[in-house]
Amino acid sequence: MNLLNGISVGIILVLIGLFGISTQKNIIKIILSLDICFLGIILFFISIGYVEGGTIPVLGSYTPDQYVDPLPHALMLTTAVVELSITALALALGLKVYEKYGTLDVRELEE
Amino acid sequence: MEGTQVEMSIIVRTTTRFLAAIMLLFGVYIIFTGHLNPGGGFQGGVILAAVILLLYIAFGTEKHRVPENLASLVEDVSALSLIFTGIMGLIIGKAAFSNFVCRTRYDFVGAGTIPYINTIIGLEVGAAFIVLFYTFFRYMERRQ
Amino acid sequence: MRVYTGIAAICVVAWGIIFLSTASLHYGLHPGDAAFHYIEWGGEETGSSNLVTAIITDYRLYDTMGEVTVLFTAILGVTMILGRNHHRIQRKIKQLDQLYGGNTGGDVDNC
Repeated sequence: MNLLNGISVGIILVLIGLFGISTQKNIIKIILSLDICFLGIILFFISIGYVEGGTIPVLGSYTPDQYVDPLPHALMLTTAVVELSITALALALGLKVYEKYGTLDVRELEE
Repeated sequence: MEGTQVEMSIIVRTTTRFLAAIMLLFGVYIIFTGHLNPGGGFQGGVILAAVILLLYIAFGTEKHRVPENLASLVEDVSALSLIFTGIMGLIIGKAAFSNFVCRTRYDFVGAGTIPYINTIIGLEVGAAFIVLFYTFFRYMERRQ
Repeated sequence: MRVYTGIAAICVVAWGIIFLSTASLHYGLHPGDAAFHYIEWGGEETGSSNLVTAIITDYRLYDTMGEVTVLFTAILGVTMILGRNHHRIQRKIKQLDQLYGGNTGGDVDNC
């Protein structure tokens, strides 16, 4: 089977996000790396439910074994909204940290 | 004065006036035909919120202060009515949080409570995004 | 700081090799039992052609209600962090004072 499918790209995105969280010094960049992690997970889950030669899960004139698995699509809709909530709260906290301390560097914020 | 009076150039303003109506219609279309074509509540709600964000950027937040109070009210009412629609199934006699209307055909009105749930979710997500954008905009204006 | 970046890169690459060698084992096969029930009976039981909408608004409406709750709470938190408009009431009081205000002439004690 092909090695460059959705599962591999999803895992690579998660690893890129993890690398970004552990080595960046700016708070905004750390939050954006966390966002990349979430997107990688969403891609990984959606590409698990792939059926060979299938079509989108909207009923048409196909037999019931030619549809892609619709369950991960429905779960990832909720996941995307939760990810939005987490990113919004984290960015709001980052704004307040900049207002109070005047710097965005993680090494200086440890004081 | 409340809000900002910074506007963009006249090309952006004229194009925004023309595009905002088309985007609004497109968002409502995606919400209403959520059970026939790909789409639904979340996707249409985000498109509706993107219209208000475009108006904030192009015209400044002073002329469009009213959507913030209205959006907060719409968000509260939508969240309550979603719970009420779910409990209504329990009161009538069938299972809770289910489709308790008789459904026969693949039409717009044949799906029971699904178009209403889509509309409620679309209004809820759109209003939540509008409040979020407005809060961020006003915070950045107050800081300078 | 080069040492930390190098250690992070080695850990991420090792983790990537472990993940990528065990994933994509189950790819392109048929979906599970619950998804097959949704595909086969979803159209008749709910009356909608879109299976993803039928899942999130009829079969799993409870999860959608939970997700709406999470979104509502996050927006509430962001509004409380970044501050609402407190000065609107004070500005209106000042406006009313300029319109109708005046000194009372010291006749507050006399009724």
